[in-house]
Amino acid sequence: MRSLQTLFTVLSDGRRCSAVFFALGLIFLLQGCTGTEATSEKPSVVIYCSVDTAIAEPILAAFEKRSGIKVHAIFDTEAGKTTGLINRLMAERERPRADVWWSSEVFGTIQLAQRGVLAKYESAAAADIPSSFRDPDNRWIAVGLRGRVIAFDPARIKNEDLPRKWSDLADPKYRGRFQMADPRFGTTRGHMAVLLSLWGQPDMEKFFQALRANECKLADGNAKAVLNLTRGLADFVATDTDDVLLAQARGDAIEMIYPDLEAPGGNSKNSGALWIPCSVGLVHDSPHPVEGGRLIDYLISAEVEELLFASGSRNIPVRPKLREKLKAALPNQTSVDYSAAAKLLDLSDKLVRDMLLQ
Amino acid sequence: MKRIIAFQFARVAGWLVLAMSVGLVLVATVIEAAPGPLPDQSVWPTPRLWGYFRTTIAMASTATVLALFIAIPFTAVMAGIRHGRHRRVLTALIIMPLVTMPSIHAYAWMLLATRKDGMAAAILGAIGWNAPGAQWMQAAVVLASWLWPIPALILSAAFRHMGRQGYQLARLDAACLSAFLRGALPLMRAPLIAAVAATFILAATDATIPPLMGATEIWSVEMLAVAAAASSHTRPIGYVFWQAWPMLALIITLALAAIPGIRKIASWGDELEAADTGTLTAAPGRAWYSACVLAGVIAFFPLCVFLTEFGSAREETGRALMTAMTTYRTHGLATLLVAALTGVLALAASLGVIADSDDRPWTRAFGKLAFAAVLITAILPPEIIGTALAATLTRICDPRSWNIYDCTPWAWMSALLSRFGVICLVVARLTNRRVPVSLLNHAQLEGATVPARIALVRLPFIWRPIAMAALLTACLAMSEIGASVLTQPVRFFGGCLAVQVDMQMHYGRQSETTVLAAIMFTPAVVAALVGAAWPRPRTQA
Repeated sequence: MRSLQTLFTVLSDGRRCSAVFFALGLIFLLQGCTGTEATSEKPSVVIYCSVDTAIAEPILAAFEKRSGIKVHAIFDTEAGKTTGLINRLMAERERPRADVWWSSEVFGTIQLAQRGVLAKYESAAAADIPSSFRDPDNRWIAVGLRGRVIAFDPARIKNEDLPRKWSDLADPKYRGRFQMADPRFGTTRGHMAVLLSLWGQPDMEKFFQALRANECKLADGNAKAVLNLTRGLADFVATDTDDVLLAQARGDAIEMIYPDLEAPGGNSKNSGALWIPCSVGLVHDSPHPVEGGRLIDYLISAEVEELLFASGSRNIPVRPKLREKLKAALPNQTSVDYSAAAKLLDLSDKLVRDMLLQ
Repeated sequence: MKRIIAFQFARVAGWLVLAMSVGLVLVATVIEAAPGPLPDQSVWPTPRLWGYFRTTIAMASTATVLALFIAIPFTAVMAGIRHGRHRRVLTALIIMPLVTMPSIHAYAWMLLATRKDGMAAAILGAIGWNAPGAQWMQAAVVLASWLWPIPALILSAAFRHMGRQGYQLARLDAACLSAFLRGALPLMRAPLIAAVAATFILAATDATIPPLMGATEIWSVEMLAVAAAASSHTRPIGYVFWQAWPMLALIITLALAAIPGIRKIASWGDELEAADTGTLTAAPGRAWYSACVLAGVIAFFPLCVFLTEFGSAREETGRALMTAMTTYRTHGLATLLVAALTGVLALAASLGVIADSDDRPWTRAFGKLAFAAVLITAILPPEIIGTALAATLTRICDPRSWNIYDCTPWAWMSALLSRFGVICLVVARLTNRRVPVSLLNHAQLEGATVPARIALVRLPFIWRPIAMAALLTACLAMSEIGASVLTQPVRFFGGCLAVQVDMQMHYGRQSETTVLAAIMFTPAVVAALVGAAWPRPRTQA
């Protein structure tokens, strides 16, 4: 109380008032100057990151320590999924402040590349990454896979009652029992775009209509969908592997299966489970492209893939040899054309709005 | 003389602060929204959006009714308190939930709802708390537990000036609560409407509690998707604005309905204050103790949940605390500094809107204009505020050299000021109207100039409420998420802690998150302690 009184008295007194505003300016100046090349020799890089803070922070700290490059990281909220930072990248696109974009999924990144937000960057560290996880134009590189799964409580659901394919969710017997995250955000958004690219628009429209008829509930994110499962608000939920692993680690008795992408009529161009990687890209016209490039080299390295695998998220490496070394299984793997799916994101959003949410 | 010059200097600084924060947001919004909706944008919301609108109204209405239900008994107890210190202790306990980060309330309820065994699980199971489809009701309950201090504080203040006589008459043949409801409440209709409007507006626009409680079919949550879609349009702010207009229209209508109540509050004199809270030192009764216990239980409920989560796992809690401190220390310090500076800027900005009746016309006009601008930005969705600041400052500032956008938290503080600065400015204008006219006339007769009258007569009267409002602003600023994520400086030493905490909360039960949530509870405790120690407002010069 006394300090506030002093503050107000200070604000009401001539020289002191000037001193306060001068001090405020000095704080700005001092804080701001730490890390800018204009006043400091230390190189720096700015990263916009939608990977979970607890996983990303140690990795970025290790890069700082090794390279001597100061990393300024801005993280997104879980509620907004990558939305907040994508908004920010778009708002800043005339004069970007970020050097590197590190996303927990790949589809939004490809869309950013298609909109000209990401620049070409050819990394030597990407040499052993399979071509399906790299942009042919080198605007993005993907590492660290997470699977799209259906999580369920084995105490409530019998094994034979589970959907084996994503298209099975259209069956009326699942009415009122299924939840997923809002399909306009994050990995669920990409998941729907992949289904659209494999199944075609007519089947996808029917699928959304069936989900709607089955009273499919939308949760605020994959983690929230799993929480709703543990609360008994759903019998099973579509989510990512890391959310299930996290729930299992805290003692929730839930299991997961890897449903097949096969189309409703069984005439799919592809079948198998969907695996979605994290992705990295250099921001077009970024202030520090050299430092940004070095950070990208590190983030896509086998070392970071190992760290991601060792983390609570347990991302599976995209490098086959590393998977062998780590004995990391990739159940029911299939190859997916992420770029083709990303091109259908807007159409998928429209179908979600018109068919599922309307 | 020095104080007069200082006041003039601070006043100009306040105007500059407002122009560079609120003014920037408003100009960018007007430029993008004025041309109308985008070519491919329908102004009329889809049936789905109308559905969300209805759910939001149902949720906010339920939260408002529940908040009133909790607030009225406390107001009745406050009415009977004669001793200033007892009143301050109860007021501090009442304020606590409001200055606690809203996500913390929701997280505590989420932890309770996901417990597998124990008494809480049994009770929640028995009342069907986890029943499918009831999420908006749960959100309403949590919103009420966060917002009930608003009607409690407004009504208890109104009672002292408007309802006491009716209450005392009704008390002759009725019990305390009954006398309050029948005798006092009808006399306080205008402040009651203001309280209802304020609670409803905050409940309808909050985007942190509903998603954590699982209620996604809510207007404010849908605005996240709108903001996502907006980023690909040429006028993103205009796009969000023309999608958000029904809620904005409702909020403006409610704000207009609240104005008579606010005017009433502003016109209260100080003559009754001394009689109510002055020298009487009646011993506190059972009602006061009961109210304190109940308010304490509500206020400390989240902390109690977190402490029971830690349980006996001392080692794990210690490890979680270390991890949280290591990972989030810089974010915490940065957030604390930014919130404190936002409070200081709100103080400075409030000096910009304090006017005297004999002030120059342009000065008064500027004060009114600034006040109106702050009122408008306070009701804008945080996505609009953040995008407006990021897009505008990006164009001005060169990222390759030192600049105010990347290297200082100016944009972040501007966003916070645009959202919460209204509290300080409203308090400044209201208390400014309560300065005794006789004193001002006396000063005028002695030849005091306008700046001298404000600096030497008005400020000593009003600095305490403004400083308290600044503290409240700082507390709220610590928990802002929507605009902070868009405006955190890239070259500052830390980011927004609330964003980090919110991100982790969605993953459910984690030791580090629980520790962080408990740490985020501290500002509310500090605010309550300051509130409890706060002296009685001066009623005489």
